[in-house]
Amino acid sequence: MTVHRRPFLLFLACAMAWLPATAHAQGVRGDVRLNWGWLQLRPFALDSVPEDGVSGSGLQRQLASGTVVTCIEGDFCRWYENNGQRQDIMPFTQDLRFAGWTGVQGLSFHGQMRTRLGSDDLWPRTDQKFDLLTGYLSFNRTAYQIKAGRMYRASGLGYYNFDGASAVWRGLGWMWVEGYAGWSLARGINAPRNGNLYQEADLLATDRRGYLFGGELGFRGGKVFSGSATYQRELRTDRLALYSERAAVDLRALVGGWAFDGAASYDFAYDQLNDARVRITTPQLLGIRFGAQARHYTPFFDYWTIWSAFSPVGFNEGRLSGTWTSRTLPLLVELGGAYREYEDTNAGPSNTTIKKDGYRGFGRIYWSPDKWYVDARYRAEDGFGGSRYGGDLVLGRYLATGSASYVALRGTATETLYEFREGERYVTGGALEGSYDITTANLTLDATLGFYRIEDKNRPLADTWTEGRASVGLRWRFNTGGTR
Amino acid sequence: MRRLAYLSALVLTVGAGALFAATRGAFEFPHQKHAALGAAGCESCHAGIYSGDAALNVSADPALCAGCHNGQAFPEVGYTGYTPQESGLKFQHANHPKLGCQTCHGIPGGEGEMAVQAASGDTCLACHGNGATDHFEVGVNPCETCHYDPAPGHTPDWQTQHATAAAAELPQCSQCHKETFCVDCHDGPKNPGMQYHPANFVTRHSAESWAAPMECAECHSREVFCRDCHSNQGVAQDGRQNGGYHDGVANWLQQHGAAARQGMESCTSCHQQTQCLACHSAKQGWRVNPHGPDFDPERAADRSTQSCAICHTGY
Repeated sequence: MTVHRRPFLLFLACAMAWLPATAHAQGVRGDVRLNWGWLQLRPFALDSVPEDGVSGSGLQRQLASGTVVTCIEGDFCRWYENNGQRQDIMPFTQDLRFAGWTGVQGLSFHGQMRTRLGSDDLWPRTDQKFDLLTGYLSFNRTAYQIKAGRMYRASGLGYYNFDGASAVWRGLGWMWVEGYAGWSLARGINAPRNGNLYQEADLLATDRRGYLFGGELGFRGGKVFSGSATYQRELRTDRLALYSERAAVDLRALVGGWAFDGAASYDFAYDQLNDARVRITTPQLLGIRFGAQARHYTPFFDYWTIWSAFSPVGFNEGRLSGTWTSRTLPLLVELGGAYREYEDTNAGPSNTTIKKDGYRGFGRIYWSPDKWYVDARYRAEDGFGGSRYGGDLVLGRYLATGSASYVALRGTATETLYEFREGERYVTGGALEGSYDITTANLTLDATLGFYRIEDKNRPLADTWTEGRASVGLRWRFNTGGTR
Repeated sequence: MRRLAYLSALVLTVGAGALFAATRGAFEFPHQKHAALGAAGCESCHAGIYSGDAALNVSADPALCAGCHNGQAFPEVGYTGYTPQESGLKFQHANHPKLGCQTCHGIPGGEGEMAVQAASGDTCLACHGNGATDHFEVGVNPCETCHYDPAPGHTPDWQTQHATAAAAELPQCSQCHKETFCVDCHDGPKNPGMQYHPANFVTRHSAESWAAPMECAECHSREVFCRDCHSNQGVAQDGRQNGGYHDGVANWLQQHGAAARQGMESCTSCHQQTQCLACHSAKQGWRVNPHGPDFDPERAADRSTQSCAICHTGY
């Protein structure tokens, strides 16, 4: 469980204090989601034999079958093997999301929590039984908003979650200023950096939590311009080092149906632009809209790792896309592509020539006559590291016009190539998907069942197998009404 | 970077030209110059607007204008009718009769029925937004109540292309979307029923992770999420079967440098730092220097001497 006691207890106490009043006259709305999944994997298992059961000498030896094993003198010889057996993985999650109004104007409480069952080591984080994803009190007035608790913060730097407080002032209407501070949580896992998840995943994982603080200045020029600048710093709680120091700028203009975007994020320690892009989207004319984007991307790594010191290089990419929405037919067509080129690595001579560029092409046709729909998508990724070509074809039918209930049949085919690995992979399969919305009961039930044939060609020891996947989800929405 | 700069300049130039063209010639009827017509009521020109008969074309009939602007009483005008701009809104005037025109179109402080302007989306959000007093908001009414799919500005690729808009206009986003809406996707491994990625993306995600059309680490921890699965499936260093992932290149260990610098994110999805430090450390092993020519050690050390100390003594 990754809940931190202080903020969680604070949140819980506040929520409990207000709940009686809330139940009496105020509104609480939210939903409960139950999701059960089933999938099959063929994990590798570590096997071993005594050293005297293997002929030869040295660290690397071979079994009679040809399997290479690693031997430690006086110990066992070990190897990983795939015995072809499937393992059924059945993760089950329960989410509760709610927002409640307390009776004090502007004061509300919000929460999102998740439990996970199905303790399989093979599905990430199923050993983490409970997550408080968000849980905060919000005091929201026209000119300002104050939040305290566990919250996410979205900015040009991406998504960061933390336990703490934030305050936004927007008294002038056309601009806003925000400050925030608290204990940081690691991105993507909603847990402290010194928690067991990191400790188990990396031998050099940091041993300290982090403080996160930052500020944002934003402005809005009517409906035309808007922008924001963010500065954020994350440091160890013993203040011996930073985990990150970053800034971001985002600008957007909407004029006459034209959209102009510009954004950049910057890493102070390594003097690098991580993700910078400019983009133009045209207005829709005769149902056609185009978009063009230029982007530079270099990955960002936290400072507790050594990765940025290895001087990773980025790529520059141009992207064009267009969509056509028919005025007379229930038809949408989308086409696009991108080309990227990597910067010079300065990595010295090598006998291996690696790809220095890559392209992407994608297309989609969505046709929805009456209650039926056909959704065909194709995507080709070709370039450095790996390539894939393939797509999905979905044929579906809504149970009634305007209804969210549907049933669909999906077919899929993909070829994947690896630049540095032997062989190529083909994935073909299909699935039955559906959703049933019981509006009167605020219930939605959805389910999928699919089977995918996985074939590795030109790869030793790889055999073809079929993977099964299924999911069942239930969502119940509640709303007690009331006013804020 | 130079190519990117050229491309950016080109995009901005084309954009500026298009912007200039788009903003020229936009017709806007000068309502306040025609204040005297206000007494007849809005429906005298916008007939049928409440009944829904004119829901698809709310502008006045050109014949009405020509009645006065006939070249004798008033100069002729070239108005031939107004083609409404395409909109992603499902808004119908007929559905909002009780509000009255001034509620949405009135100019604050303006006098008379003709002190009007185009309605702002903010007016809609006063009732339909996330902070609406009466909770018409998301969760009660889905987006499709007001918006055609895709919603205005939310292009078909919006799901993967909204980052800048979200950052630049966050207060606007929050009008319709609650924080939990974002968490639905920005929360790493999640409910099996979620469909952010294509079906069975797990078995075909490799190329996308190399190409990084989006930053995977935005939602997925490289250390915890990626490595965990890669180990179980035998493609990570500590879960490999014989040749592992790099068996397509002979002597990979001796010539992986360029690939590592180009695809560092992919490396970290399988390898722990200690595995690289076996060679790339000033304290041990082969002492191979991993720093590129632009590496500024003082700048990095200013932020984190601890990461320097992993490989170097004296920190």
